[in-house]
Amino acid sequence: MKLALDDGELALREEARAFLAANVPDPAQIPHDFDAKVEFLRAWQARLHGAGLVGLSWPEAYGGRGASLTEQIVVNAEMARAGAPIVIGNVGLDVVGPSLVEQGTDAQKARFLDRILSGADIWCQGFSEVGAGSDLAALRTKARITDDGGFVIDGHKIWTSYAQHAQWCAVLARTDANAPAHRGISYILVDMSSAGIEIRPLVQVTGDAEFSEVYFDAVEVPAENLLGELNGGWAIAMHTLSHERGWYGVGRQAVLRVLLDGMVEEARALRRGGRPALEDEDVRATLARAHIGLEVLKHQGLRSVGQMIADGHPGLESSVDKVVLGRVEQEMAAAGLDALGAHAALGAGAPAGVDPEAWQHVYLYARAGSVYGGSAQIQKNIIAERILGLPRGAR
Amino acid sequence: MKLTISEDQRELQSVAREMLADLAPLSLARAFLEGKGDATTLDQQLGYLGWYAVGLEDDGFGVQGLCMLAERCGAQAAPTALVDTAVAARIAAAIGGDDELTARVAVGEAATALAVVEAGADWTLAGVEATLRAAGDDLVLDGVKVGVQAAPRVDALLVLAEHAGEPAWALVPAEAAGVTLLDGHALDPAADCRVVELSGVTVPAARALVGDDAGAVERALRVGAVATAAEGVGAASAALDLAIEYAREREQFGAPIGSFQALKHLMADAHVDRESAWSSVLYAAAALDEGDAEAAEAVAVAKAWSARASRAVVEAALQVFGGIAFTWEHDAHLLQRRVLAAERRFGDAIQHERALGARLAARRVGAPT
Ligand SMILES: Cc1cc2nc3c(=O)[nH]c(=O)nc-3n(C[C@H](O)[C@H](O)[C@H](O)COP(=O)(O)OP(=O)(O)OC[C@H]3O[C@@H](n4cnc5c(N)ncnc54)[C@H](O)[C@@H]3O)c2cc1C
Repeated sequence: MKLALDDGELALREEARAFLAANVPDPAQIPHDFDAKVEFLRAWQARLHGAGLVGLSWPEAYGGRGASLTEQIVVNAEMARAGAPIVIGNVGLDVVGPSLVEQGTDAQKARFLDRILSGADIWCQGFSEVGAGSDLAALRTKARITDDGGFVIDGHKIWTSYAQHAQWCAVLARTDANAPAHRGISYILVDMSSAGIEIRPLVQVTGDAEFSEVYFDAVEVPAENLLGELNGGWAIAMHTLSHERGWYGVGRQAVLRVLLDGMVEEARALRRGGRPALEDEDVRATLARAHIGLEVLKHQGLRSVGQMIADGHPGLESSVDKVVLGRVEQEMAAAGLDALGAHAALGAGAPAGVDPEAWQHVYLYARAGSVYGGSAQIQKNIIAERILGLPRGAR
Repeated sequence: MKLTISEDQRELQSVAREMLADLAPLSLARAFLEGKGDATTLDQQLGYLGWYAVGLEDDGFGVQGLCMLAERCGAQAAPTALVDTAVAARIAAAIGGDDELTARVAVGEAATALAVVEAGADWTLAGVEATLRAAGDDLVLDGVKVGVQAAPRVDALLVLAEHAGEPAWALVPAEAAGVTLLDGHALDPAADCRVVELSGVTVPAARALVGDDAGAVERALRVGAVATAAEGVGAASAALDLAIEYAREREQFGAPIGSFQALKHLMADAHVDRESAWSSVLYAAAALDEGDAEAAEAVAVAKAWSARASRAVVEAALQVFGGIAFTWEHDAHLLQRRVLAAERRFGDAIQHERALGARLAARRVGAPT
């Protein structure tokens, strides 16, 4: 049996279900005030950690369960289904943590890993800059090396998700200006309370301030905060990005599935031409295609995860997964808007059981699916040149 | 909970790749295009290799294995009765009994063509006008079927007909009295289609499936749908491979056309389409193999997605070739024809999307899965 859950996965699912049934807070309890909300979500992560439901696939020695990736996926799907609040520390859990596990010194592991799991430390990822988005290697944030091997960082990061409530930031900075672009970059762990850091939240199209600009003005960082080798940051960053892409789609699929199921119910409540929208053939077909896309996203993800487990690391296929995710999420979001008909672009005055604004949020957020984590075009460049072997050329 | 294939299946895949490239080069599909196709050797070898029986027993290959073979048949636009025979075997097994022909079909020993579509009836099985009527101890079959693939080369036909207001199936030896094969020209010449006239064909009751075995038939048709999806993906993917090769060599503006980003992204999108389609096929086949409760849905998803994706892939490939692939001499259209034919068999995208829409509407959220 392959698709079916194995005994370990089943047991975990039951465990997660039982915990979530008893513990998922009523959404009305989640504070609106931003800082209060962050504290609330941090406490929620601590409870999940207490129940051993985050970082499952981390080694036991570092506070995980040494579980398989598929077990973590099963648990994440249960959280989505139970309507659990988001896990606020996901950058630490999914991106920085695994890099620390692989590349960190014993001291770094002891210092950071447990606090990532419990939500005590929220991490952000300071990679992108104004002049270095897709062309990440063009980054100019500079880390001058001091006599004692420490760093002084000057520069400006942008689009840094969760920066405004993060305790730590994984910063890519240039440590050798004379080396070729990819070889002069280091991966440095920066305490966000350091002197010289200024955070300016950016409001997204959705109205949320999920990301920020981060300015570094002579920020001092001790030598022990270098992850991996000096000037070896590029490989770590690429590795974590592919890790992120490698199984992110399956998790995201679980969240999108809950949203689409909700849209089917809304289409039942909404009227179009005097009868339930869900009885309209074109609405049904539109939702059916969105449903198909989501299923295929799951199939693609499960195949990649299978490959990833067999190989021990994510491969170039993760670029395929990322393109599928962006496309499917955007098509699904558009399908929902189309189903909403006359109410799609309205807010007030919607029928009971129909929430156009929530879906507008889904739609607006979906546009980011083909931008963050390496845009769709960048993934296609990778697919064309590195999977299909097409010649490099003018870009 | 993951989608993997076994070592044995991988081995089957690579053997199939080699054997079919040898037994069914694209020149064979072309010979059919020119009206002089001869697939005798291919037919014999498929039987000899035991491929008609792949996935019937618990052989470790399963429906996934069948899909791997079908994918390769698609990639060569091979004129085979592979998928029809696999479906017929499952329906023959539901007929059961000790009739010799039925038993041979049920174990994949007799190549069989499905006769389903009519002028007014499609793969939904609705609207069938062919009739299966009682005549003494036997039954008698009348009707006209179209798009019957490889009809002149199979041992038997499995015909869909109406019996007492319900769909029924009749197994008929290809040589039976009252069976006439007429010209069946169709888009994909290598499908070797015929129009089949059935006029007063006697069918012993032991070769008919009448009454309430709809479940077995649905399961059999699902196998056909997913294997045909695989065939389409195989054909489209082969066209893409040809296009990639061409794009590396062909130069314009002093550079290989494959270095132009517009074409790179066209091919990258096509790659995403073929990979996602193949994932959906593997998943649906595994769901059938594992008796998953959601298998019917997974098959509809795979068939609908693969149908649309395969067409997009082959169209992208054609664009890469520019004018050359618009010629009769070029091989790309052999694959294009197979893609379009596979897209329609066992239900097109619209049929499966509609079925999924109905399922969505009937489903209540929150039911645990
Ligand atoms: C919601 C969200 C959250 C994010 N969170 C983080 C974060 O936490 N940390 C972080 O470091 N970054 C984060 N990012 C930044 C993200 O990684 C970048 O936005 C992304 O890499 C694209 O860079 P850019 O915005 O500068 O666009 P650009 O690189 O300027 O791209 C603009 C357009 O040009 C296209 N383009 C660029 N180069 C090529 C090329 N070679 N070929 C073809 N087309 C090309 C792009 O595809 C895009 O369509 C986030 C972004 C979003 C939207």
